[in-house]
Amino acid sequence: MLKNELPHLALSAPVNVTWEITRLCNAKCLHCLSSTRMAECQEELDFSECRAFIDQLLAAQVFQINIGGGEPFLRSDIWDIFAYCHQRQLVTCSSTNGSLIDKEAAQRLAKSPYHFLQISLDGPTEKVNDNIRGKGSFAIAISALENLIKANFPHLSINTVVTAANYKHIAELYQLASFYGAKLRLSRFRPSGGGVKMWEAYRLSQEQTIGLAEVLSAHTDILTGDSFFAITKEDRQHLGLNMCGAAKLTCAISPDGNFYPCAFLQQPPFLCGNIRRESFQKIWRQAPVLQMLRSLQVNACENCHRFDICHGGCPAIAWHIHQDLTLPDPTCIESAIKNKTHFLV
Amino acid sequence: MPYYKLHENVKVRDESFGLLFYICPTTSLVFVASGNMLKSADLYRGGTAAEFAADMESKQIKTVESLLAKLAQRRLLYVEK
Ligand code: SF4
Ligand code: SF4
Repeated sequence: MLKNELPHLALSAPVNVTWEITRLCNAKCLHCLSSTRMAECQEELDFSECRAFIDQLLAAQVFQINIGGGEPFLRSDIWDIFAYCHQRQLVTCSSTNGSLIDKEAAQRLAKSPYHFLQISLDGPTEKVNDNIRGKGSFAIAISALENLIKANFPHLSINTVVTAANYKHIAELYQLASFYGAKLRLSRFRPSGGGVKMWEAYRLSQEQTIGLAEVLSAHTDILTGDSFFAITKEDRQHLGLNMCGAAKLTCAISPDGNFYPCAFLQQPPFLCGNIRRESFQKIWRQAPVLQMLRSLQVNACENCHRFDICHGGCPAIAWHIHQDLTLPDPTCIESAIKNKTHFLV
Repeated sequence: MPYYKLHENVKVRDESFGLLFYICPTTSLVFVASGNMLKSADLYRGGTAAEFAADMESKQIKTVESLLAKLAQRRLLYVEK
């Protein structure tokens, strides 16, 4: 029943929308996707604009909002925003550093069946994590996890951005998540925002990419974010859709209402409109940038034996490295394997 | 005749290829290439295959019936016999 070719047809609306709801943040993670861009962000949507936007998402029958930032819990009206979504049975999945999840917040969060939460943690120990996410951030995240577990919060995951600085520790992070009864969810590191400066230091080497694929094959219950289909082995392909979702299944909204195809494509050439000035559905249906992405062909990949399950990988990485969306994902597993073969010969 | 209704934890919408289901507790998707055979509004309202296929030819009712049974098997719909 689930057919990977079906999502290639333009959907009437995204399945989920990534909403960077605030530019405020109380952390300084080295690889932060948003850090540089947030500084340019104009005035945030106020509560009544947020409500109007949620109404538009409901009218379009969007199923899920992925709420991030910045640190979403720093918004003083975040609980009202959650309540507005959940009363209308709209699922929210929030990404947080955990700094504001005390006992009371955890109990409040556990009351809604429509809430999913990802706590960011980039290492299984203070040493590994705090080197990346800043001093004290490990203890903060663990305290949030413990508060949520005590409150019986059901939909909990630890979210880790995989880099050269923590890739060796994924199995330990998996154990840590299992200890707390949470899922481990991995995200790919991309040369976007603060990631540009850290790219050379944090990008996975070819050997590390292949090693990560082994770990993921051994633990099929590790969840993975967008575009892992380009760096995992065939045995994980049945676990999700093998395609870039930008403009097809998903899109991203910045704190000031700018509409982009994906959280990792928030540069001026990809601006589709602003939800303060145009309707969400009109932008989704008509923005030329979205139409271009829906028909994007990565011709250079067509002879690759993985093409049917990969379609060229993550165009955002290709764009950030080569400023060309039509080139293959430069960090895909196939290039890692090919290059590794070169080393051996 | 069995009565089918969308499961309370599931959402569905109409798409050009048919129906797109979203399972809230797992946030997973099911794409169903059902064409115009079933409408999401009918599944929210609930009914029998004959009611859903009221405007169709009798042989199409069988197809609707088998599709509904498959969706129920996937726990996207609940069924009252
Ligand atoms: S551009 Fe990359 S990160 Fe964005 S949806 Fe596509 S695959 Fe995912
Ligand atoms: S060469 Fe292209 S299709 Fe093959 S794995 Fe890399 S990105 Fe995917």
